[in-house]
Amino acid sequence: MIISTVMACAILVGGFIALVLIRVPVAFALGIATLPIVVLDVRLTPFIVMDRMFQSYNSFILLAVPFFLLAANLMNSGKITDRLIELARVLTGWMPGGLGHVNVAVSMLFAGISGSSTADAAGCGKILIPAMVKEGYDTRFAVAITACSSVMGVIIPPSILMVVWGGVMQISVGALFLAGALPGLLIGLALMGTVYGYAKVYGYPTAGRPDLGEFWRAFKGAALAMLTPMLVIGGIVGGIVTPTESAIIAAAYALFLGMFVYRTVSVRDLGGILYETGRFASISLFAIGTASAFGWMLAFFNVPRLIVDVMTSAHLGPFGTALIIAFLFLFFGLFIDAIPTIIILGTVLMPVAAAADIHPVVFAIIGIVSLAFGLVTPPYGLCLLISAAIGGVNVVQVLRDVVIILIPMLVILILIILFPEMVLWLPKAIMPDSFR
Amino acid sequence: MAVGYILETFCKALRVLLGVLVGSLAIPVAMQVISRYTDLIPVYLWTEELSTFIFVWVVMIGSMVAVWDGTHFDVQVIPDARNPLMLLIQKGVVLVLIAIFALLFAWYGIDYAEFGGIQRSVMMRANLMVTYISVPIAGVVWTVFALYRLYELIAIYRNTKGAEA
Amino acid sequence: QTTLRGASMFDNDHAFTKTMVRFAELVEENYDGEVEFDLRLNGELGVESDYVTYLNQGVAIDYTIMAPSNMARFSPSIPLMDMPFLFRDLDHWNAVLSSDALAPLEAELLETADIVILGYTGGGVRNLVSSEPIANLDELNGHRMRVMGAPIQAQIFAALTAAPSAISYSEVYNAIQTGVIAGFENEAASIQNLKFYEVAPYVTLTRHTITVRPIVMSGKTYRDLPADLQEAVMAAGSEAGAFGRALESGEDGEKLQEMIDAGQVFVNEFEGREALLEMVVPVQDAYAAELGATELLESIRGM
Ligand code: NA
Ligand code: NA
Repeated sequence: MIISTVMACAILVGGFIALVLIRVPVAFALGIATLPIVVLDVRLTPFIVMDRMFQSYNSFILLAVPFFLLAANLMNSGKITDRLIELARVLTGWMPGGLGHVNVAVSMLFAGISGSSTADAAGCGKILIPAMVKEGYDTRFAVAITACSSVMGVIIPPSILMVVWGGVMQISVGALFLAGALPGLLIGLALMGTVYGYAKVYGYPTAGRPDLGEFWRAFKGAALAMLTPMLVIGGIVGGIVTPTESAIIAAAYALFLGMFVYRTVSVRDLGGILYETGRFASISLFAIGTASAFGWMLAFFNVPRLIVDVMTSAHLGPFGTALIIAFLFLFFGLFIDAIPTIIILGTVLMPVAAAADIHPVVFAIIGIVSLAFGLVTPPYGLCLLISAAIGGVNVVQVLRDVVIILIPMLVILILIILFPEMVLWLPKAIMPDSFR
Repeated sequence: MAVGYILETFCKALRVLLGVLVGSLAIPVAMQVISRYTDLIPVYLWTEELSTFIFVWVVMIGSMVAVWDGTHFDVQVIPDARNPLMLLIQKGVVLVLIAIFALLFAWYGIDYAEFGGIQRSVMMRANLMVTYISVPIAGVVWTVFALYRLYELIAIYRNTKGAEA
Repeated sequence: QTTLRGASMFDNDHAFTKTMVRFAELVEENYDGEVEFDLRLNGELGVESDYVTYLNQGVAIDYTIMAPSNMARFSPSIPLMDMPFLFRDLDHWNAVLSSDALAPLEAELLETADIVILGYTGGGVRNLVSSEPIANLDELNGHRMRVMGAPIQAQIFAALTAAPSAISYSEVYNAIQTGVIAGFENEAASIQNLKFYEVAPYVTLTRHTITVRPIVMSGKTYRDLPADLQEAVMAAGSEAGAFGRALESGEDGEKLQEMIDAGQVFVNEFEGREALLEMVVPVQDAYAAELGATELLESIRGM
């Protein structure tokens, strides 16, 4: 038989949600949901599911994923993360809710070095969640702030998502990196505001006032690590490496620091770090494959075209269109990883954004920020899952705090939509060539 | 528990291989950068091809290990059942579904590998079965891993029932 | 009743899409029975390298238009049909494509990939595109440029003393902008669609390639068609091909002119282009010999 669009949509989306509810792993749920379709529709065979999965791994851009993750893991294993936490502590720990601010600040520092949010949640969370609980913070708050602050990892440059976005949609990755800086900092400030509010309501302590010696030691300790963003962004803007290759620069530098400067990583450790990187990267990359197959099925049954038709015929103007774009990315982000969403949804919405006169760089940042929020929204929010696992609590228990922390972050997203110049001024100032 | 021991050993080998592959992934990409800026090595056009070959295997082997370890991410909307029988059903259904998907991969993957076998990569002229074969292999390994975990689950259930009686 | 599904990576305005629409009209005119067409646009079903797979397996789509290099995984000789400096000019190109000179390549493709060639469109002229002007051989010497992923492409440009580079197509824009490479080579439509002129505004008229883009059908689909529909499809393929060639070679010049008028690109001739033609002959000969296609190459050159 030949399946109609409505029926295909019902089987795919309904099947996927049902499978996720009975706790089939998301990567498999995406793949299994396509099976009824290939069995029922005479025009399709299981071949197409395998091929769409397999070919999605045949992508040079995705190589950035393991390398950025490797850089982050090297930082975590090489105790570079500890130095960043120390720096964050002397900078922000003296405020009420000290460790909460440290948690946010270290994520900003970490984000400037790594392109990965999950590694931030794992690496910093492992140290800060127990420390916060010990100092009397509510575990749920500790988990929620760790998860929410880690999303800056993909907003503040460098960013895996921006490398993929720029490659898939032919936009300057350098411009995207620069465009992400200010929104990332604002989100950091919003988070610190929230921490301050929590500290006032629940009477959370400071983390002590550092003296000048501590200040100096913390700066010295983290200085070399803080050079990484210069290397990565400098490498791209300066024309030494392509964005995908820049990930390997970050990894090589972290390796150099860990093995030769700080001497915290031995050759033996390196094997474990490489394995851990491969293990974690392949779990999310594998899901990209099944998500691609799933997305292809939706496209085969004309679902994206329907979405675009509805949106373009509504003539919503730039603000309305941008709101709906953000909503769609947020919604997709509830269920699947950011990278497959970029591939499935980003490419579909690009003409919609162009028709509404939204600048491609602004469109990208709206998409990436919305997708970053998806990292902490259940059912599928990797950073939330990781942080909750570290804190030993269920995702459902921390939901209330996540929502409270997300609200000011959502305000920043709306500000970006209202004032796109916020996003554009930095790349315009530094890379005017991209805006000819 | 000989089967369990063999499978655990096999998975250990997969883990080592995974680490080695991630490390070697850096080589072709680094060569690409080095060849562009120095005369140490000539410009090889096959570096991109080789890196995607290794990449495919990293993903596939990683997915196998994650089935054995049970670390593919799921969404804990429903908490673990308290009743042993319910727990068996809850976890068993998931494993059975994974095994079905895996079996299809193993079965249709054979054709897929053959389809790779009639292609050659453009730069290295390598028979593409070298990567396509990872599909049926992954299918077989997922199947074996998932079924063994199912067997373990049933054994645990029997033990708790035996303890109650 | 038969439904034939086609796929295009582009929108309604692109020459490939128009050619495939024309193809459908021609089949409907030539054929007495019922046949329907479902053409999927904008890369909904993937990119050209995916379409090859679909055609070989007879799934998802039945026909499309694509670059020969995408079929090289199955059939190593196929990129020969539009290798650089193969055609002297548009007339030579048109003469070859209107003849059955490429029949040996068609036979190889059918055997190795189970893909039937119905006709030939194309007509984009590929030139050097770069961030700095390249006026002559001196400036081409050591020029870091991205080439397509087939060995013959790299060999030809290496023979011209340029420095071919391995960069994924999806990274070309960023790589030129940042100076990782200084340029690449492509036709006007691509420069315009993907806004490559933003980073590489200099177009050097080497006219090294006039593109050949076969209209192809899955062998599995083709064999399942009734005999009279097979005939109609073949006839429509070669006629739509001629239509597409006229359309695209005309549009190519127009697009280049549009970009010149808009001040997006600066066009210059290549001093001593004739020298290039001689420099590439040994590479072309060796390539054809390796593929056992010396005779074919000679016959194309002799037309
Ligand atoms: Na970052
Ligand atoms: Na944090």
